[in-house]
Amino acid sequence: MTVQASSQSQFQIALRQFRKHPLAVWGLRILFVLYTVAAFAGFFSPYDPNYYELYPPKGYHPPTRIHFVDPETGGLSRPFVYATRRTLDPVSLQPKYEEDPSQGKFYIRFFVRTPDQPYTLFRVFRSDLRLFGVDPPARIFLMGTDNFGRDLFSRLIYGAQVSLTIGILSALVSFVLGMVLGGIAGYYSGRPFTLSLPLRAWRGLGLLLGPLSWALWGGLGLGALYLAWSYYRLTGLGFFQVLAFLAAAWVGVRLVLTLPFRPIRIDADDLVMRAVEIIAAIPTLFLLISLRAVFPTNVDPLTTFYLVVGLLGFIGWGGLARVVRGIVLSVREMDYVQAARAMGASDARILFRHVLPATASYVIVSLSLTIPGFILAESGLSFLGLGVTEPYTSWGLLLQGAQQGGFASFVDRPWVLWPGFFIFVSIMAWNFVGDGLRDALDPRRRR
Amino acid sequence: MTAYILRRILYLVPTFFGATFLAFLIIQMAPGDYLTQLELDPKVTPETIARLRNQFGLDRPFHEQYLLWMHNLLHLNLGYSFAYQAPVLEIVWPRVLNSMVLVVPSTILLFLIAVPVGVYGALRQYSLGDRVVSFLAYLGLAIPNFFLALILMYLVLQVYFRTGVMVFPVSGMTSSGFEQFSFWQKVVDVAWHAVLPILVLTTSDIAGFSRVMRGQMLEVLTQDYIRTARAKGLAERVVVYKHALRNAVIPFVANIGGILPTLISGAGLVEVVMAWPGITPLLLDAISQQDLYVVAGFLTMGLVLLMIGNLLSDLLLAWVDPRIRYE
Repeated sequence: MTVQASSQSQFQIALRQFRKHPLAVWGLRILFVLYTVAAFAGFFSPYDPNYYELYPPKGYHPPTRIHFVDPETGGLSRPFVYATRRTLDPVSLQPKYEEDPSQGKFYIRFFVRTPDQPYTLFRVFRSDLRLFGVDPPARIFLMGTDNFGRDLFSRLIYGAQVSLTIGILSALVSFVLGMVLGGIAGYYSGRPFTLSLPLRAWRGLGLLLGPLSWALWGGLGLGALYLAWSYYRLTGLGFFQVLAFLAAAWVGVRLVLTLPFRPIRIDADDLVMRAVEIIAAIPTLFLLISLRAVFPTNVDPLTTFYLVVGLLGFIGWGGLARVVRGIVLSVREMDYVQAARAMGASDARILFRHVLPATASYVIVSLSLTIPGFILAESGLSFLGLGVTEPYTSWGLLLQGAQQGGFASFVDRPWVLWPGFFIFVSIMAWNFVGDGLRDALDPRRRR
Repeated sequence: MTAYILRRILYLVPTFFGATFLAFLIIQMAPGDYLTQLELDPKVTPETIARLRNQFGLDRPFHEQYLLWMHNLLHLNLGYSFAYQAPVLEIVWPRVLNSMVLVVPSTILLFLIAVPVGVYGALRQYSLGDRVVSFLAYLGLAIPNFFLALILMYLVLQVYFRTGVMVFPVSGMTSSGFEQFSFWQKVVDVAWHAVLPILVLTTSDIAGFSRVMRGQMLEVLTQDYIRTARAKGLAERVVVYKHALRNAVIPFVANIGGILPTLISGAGLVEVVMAWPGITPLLLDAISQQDLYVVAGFLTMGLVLLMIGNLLSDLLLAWVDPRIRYE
């Protein structure tokens, strides 16, 4: 297809519309920063996320104060920090940290090398160059430390890798499921699949498939009868038992009367929509947690990560499938689809080349608006300790630190609440972008 | 219409069996069962475990367990909790009531606040007020419930440490000495404890709800019949509230049935964070302990309400929206 030089392509129009949405542009900028920092986590974090000191311990160290004023001259100076001294509070036995100016000033230095804590970028490039740091024995904890004394800021940056990618990956999983199942449901709606062969069709390949389909359906009928029978055996005779027998007998009679003469057809639309209904019927949080309980909790962390991605994606596809089905139902009646069919295109080709692309603008918007939902769900799951596990970390898992040890955990140590702030910012940015995309791609909303 | 309702009810049967079966299957698929934990206890002999397993019916094949459970369910018996040694309904119902203390006021508040806010946003589109409200809605949408709860708890405790005044209690549902209170004292006490969690719940819901309401209202205001109404000289008040609003709230009326199941499904993680004795913590425990019938029973209750709710929604929709006709 050629685009005339004077006119704008769809993409250009959308881009121009998107730029008119200041919040969306800001959302995109924020996301760019967040994802860049997450991608180059090693460079932006001053310490290894799992590094901690045994002596002196640094557990629950408050954020390091950065000084800009030289106490001796009273004038401005390069930013510096002091080393800290650990004491125990005699009453609460909680560690307390005091600045110790006697060890001198430690200037914040940029592009420092930390040979004892190397990192790997994108699993390939080894390096030990970090954006900023201070010389030991001073430490720079921008957001304090956790109970082990690990730097919360570094952990937060590494946690961003998990929290931010899990949203996208889960959205992709639910995208594939929703597109394919919703597409099939809509495209084949009213054109049921044949799932058994009557006797007269037992020719050629049918000679193999015919008996096979009969065996499957026969098994189903026998299964129904067996269920009714074991129900009777377990509980004795009563109204419901008779009902169960009648239902099983009805299934059996229907099968006997249908199988030899007519093919059994099942509408994929009914099947998919029933499945969506059933999944939607169970509250999300409980479905998520019950499903998580199906898999062992002591598997290796990477598997857990993919497990969480899969579960979130599995739970989220229903809404997308429902809408894709609706769009496909109307698109498949359009002339260009009829034309493609008349030219002899296969169903798969029509569906994937001609019909599904028509849902693109809706799907892009709905994807960008489901990603924040997945980020939220992941943080909730991890907050309960059912999401990603150590040594991986995520914002939800970090926020769990605010729940351990009662109120003291966040009243005395408010810095443990930082991860929640980042969840908030990233969800908001995604929402802005999603709204901007919706306005940009929907011609009715243009202004 | 009657035929339509009957057909709808008939359709509910496979969904009901499918969803209960799925719920049952998921819980059963988790490795081990309720007694697996007990097996680790050296004081409990294998014979005791075997006897208990037999007594609980956990040694039966899966389909027999499901059939027995379904049999009890058809006789309105949700089963028996292993962990609490009591009928499921007795365990779940008080917790559901506790949750309702949060969910019902929050739902009412939601409607009272979100609809006017949405209408305002649509009528004064892009005004300063609309921008402020929209921005607040974004904030509310983006903040995780449990994080907002933590923040509010932090603020309240800070106020407490500075001034010695506990503005609102930050955890639990009752004060100590609750048993000795008179009835009204009890009501006030619970209400006082409920303020923060209700606030948290409502904030996030208002955000989404008012956005949708605003969008609906904007959509309706561009319709031809609104222009017609204005053209024939009706007062703006009549146009907005009689012509536009009535049509804009149709989707919400249609969704009223959807509220039914949310009434019993609890307030989510807020209950966990604020130690509210609602249904969520109970259910989380039940899932981790594999207290089979508590989970399955609760899910069934929610399911039945969801189905009734959906049916109600459809009927209500047919009633408020004359454009819809069921043949």
